[in-house]
Amino acid sequence: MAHETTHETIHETTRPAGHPANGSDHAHHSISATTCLMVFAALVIGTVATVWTASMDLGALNTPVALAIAIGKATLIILYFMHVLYSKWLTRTVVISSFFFLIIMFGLTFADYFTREKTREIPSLYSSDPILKQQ
Amino acid sequence: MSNAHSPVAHHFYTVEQQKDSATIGMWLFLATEILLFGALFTAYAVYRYRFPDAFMVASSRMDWKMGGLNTLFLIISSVTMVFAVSSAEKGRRGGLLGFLAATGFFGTLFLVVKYFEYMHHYHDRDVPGLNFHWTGAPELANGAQMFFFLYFFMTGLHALHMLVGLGLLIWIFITAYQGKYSPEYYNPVEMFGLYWHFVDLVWIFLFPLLYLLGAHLPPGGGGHH
Repeated sequence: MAHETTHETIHETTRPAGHPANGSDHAHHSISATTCLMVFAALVIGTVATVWTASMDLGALNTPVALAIAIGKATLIILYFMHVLYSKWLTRTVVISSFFFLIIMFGLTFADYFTREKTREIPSLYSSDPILKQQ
Repeated sequence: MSNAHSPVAHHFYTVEQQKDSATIGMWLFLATEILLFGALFTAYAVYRYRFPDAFMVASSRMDWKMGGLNTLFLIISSVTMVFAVSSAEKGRRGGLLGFLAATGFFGTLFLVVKYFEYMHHYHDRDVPGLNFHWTGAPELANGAQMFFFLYFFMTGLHALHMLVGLGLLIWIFITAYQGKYSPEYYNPVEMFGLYWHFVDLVWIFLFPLLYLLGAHLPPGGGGHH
């Protein structure tokens, strides 16, 4: 009895929200060979595009463009190859939260290091003049 | 842990629940890996912000063709890994063994290319702490050394992950050869696949950030000897 209850609870909480019970519960959807090869083609094209755009002088845009392509490729791998597109929301929550914490690490660190020149313009912080420092 | 009669270990109720648990556990491990490499990417960004010109010139000493070739090897090995997992899911042992072998082949090719790259850097005296010798503009020397330190740290940790991956791959191959996997139970194959794709994922960011910063500079970019 207790076993049965726990079992049902687990099933309920882990059923993917966007996927209404379409046939058997075991409708495990690994990606088809066609999808896989299309993702492969997209990844190869992305790699060529990365090298091609890097060979041009885009000024400050070189790295943002390279990162945008890399994020696109990474998204394809996570969604299709790592099956997150077909996974349950509990798994997706773990995936999303890991990148959430990555963004926190980036955000707080960069908020410090990339703004240090600005804070040097505040005389009360860095001036050797004792009067300015008191302000 | 599964006994000979059932693919479901005694502490699970169903095959599906067992698989979901493994998947979540694997992704929790990968979350720690994302933050491990994330810390290195953070360090990269901070030092590149500090030494923008030195990073660009030092990066032009990289052979982007080698890096690009390795990117292709890893992408191909990821695709063969997808086919290995779907072979396991369909209970095709021959396909599983073949695709695992192909994955291992391309993973090994990656490490072979990496080995030649490292040897080349060693001969060019690019290795901080060992023989770093900068022949370019002197004001870029510190930043260039930092670039190569990060290059060896990040690609070295990535290559270590590849080595661990190849070791796990051999174990998966042997157990697959012994017929331990079935359409009901192939969790180790699928979890190893997640690990392998993750290692590919890291390289997709390492390649443009380390190899291509100076690709738009004229040949010889200033850092060459």
